Amino acid sequence: MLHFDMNSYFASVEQQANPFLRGKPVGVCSTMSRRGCIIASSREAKAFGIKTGCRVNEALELYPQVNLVEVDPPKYRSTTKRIFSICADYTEDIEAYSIDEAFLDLTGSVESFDRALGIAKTIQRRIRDEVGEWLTCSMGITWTRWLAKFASDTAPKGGIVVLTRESLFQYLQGRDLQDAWGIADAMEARLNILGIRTLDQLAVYPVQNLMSVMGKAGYYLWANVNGIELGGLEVKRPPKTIGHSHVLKKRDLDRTFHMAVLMRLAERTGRRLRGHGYEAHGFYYYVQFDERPSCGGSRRVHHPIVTTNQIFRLVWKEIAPVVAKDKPGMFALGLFGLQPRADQLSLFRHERLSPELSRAIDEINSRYGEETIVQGPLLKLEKMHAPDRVGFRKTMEAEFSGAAELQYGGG
Amino acid sequence: MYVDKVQETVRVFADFSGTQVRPVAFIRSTGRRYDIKRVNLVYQKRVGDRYHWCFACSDEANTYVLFYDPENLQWTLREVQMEG
Repeated sequence: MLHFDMNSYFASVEQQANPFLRGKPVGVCSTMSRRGCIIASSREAKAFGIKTGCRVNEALELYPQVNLVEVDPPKYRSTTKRIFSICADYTEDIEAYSIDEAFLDLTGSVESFDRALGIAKTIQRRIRDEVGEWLTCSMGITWTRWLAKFASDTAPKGGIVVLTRESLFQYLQGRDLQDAWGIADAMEARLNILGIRTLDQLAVYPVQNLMSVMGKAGYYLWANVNGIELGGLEVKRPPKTIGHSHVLKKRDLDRTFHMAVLMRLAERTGRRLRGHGYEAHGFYYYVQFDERPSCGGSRRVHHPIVTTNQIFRLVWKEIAPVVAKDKPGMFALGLFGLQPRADQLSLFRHERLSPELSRAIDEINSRYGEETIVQGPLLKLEKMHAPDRVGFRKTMEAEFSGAAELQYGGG
Repeated sequence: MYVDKVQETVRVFADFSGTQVRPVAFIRSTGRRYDIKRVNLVYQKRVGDRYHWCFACSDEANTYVLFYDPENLQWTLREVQMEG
């Protein structure tokens, strides 16, 4: 099993695209406003303490000369596609774990770790030669999925760690618990109570004791650290929820603006819902304010949700009274209870915008570009409000099969 | 760094060798020619059911983003990033 993780990915892609940014602190922001969030920082920016999740104004305080670049999702998706297409030359069994990391199951393709190491080095070289010389990745090679991720997480930037059954215990020795995938503060505290402070201690701890304290989770932890494969590659599962959120660029009581932003979020959510061929049986919403506690909630509905208009009306009904009094800072909405579409007709309801019309609008927008046809409230909303967002884990939809058609290249 | 978002049709000298295309130089509406020193990154942007090819290129001083629409064979300058 091979796991690779691109280093400082979005920032590295920006530095690849613009060589004048190389070697300089770069922060990729969700939006260029001071309240915007740094979603990726270059290694040079990290040296100044500018980390993922940091606010733009905090980043500017830490290092006023930091180069801020607005997120450009198509650029990263396209680059990921090229990287994954290189990986697809070595195995068909690829789990795209997120936009910048993936598992490659080389079982059956290679007979030894040495051969796997050769493939790993070739992939690293090809990424440099065919995609961009500034793009580096860390890799882990071992015999289980969990250990492969652990190995690549602990590998030096751009390096490769090969863990064999013989070298595993030595590699674990003295390592912090939080170096392991899935162990954070709370889990570490529980393990500390048992006298477990390092990963090698966890590996030799009696599993029965661990299970009596932590249940199944204790076994999973122990098995992962000891190199027992629990699942292998994860198959792509259908989503349980679909939703979008947006931090507002201006704080006011402008009802028209709020409706327009919500409509755009509803449209993005609806497009994905219908793209999957689902209907929803519930919705949730969340509004954050600067000057009062945030509010949110969820509702189940009897009539299935399919159209953008339905999503908007249901959410707006909940949100309208609260945003009329206080200035909101962030909107989030989403759908749950997803099922394949049944297209059940209703005797008692008449939708203002039918699913068929919705489908026709989707087809036009897919063919001629997003928002070729829009709902009324969106007509005057600039593109900078609730723009395209880059998907990380579950919303990652980078397809790497069939990416071989990429023919245009630089050099 | 100063970023200028533009939307300007440009004339491009391109090298079509093998299966790849690589912009070599472009001429803006002012008539000035810009020689591309490097193509740093090639990526795609979806526009409806089509894809535009994007070339992030640079010369000695600046970075440019050129879009190529394979449907109508048109090149557009979309972005100029200047240092300083």
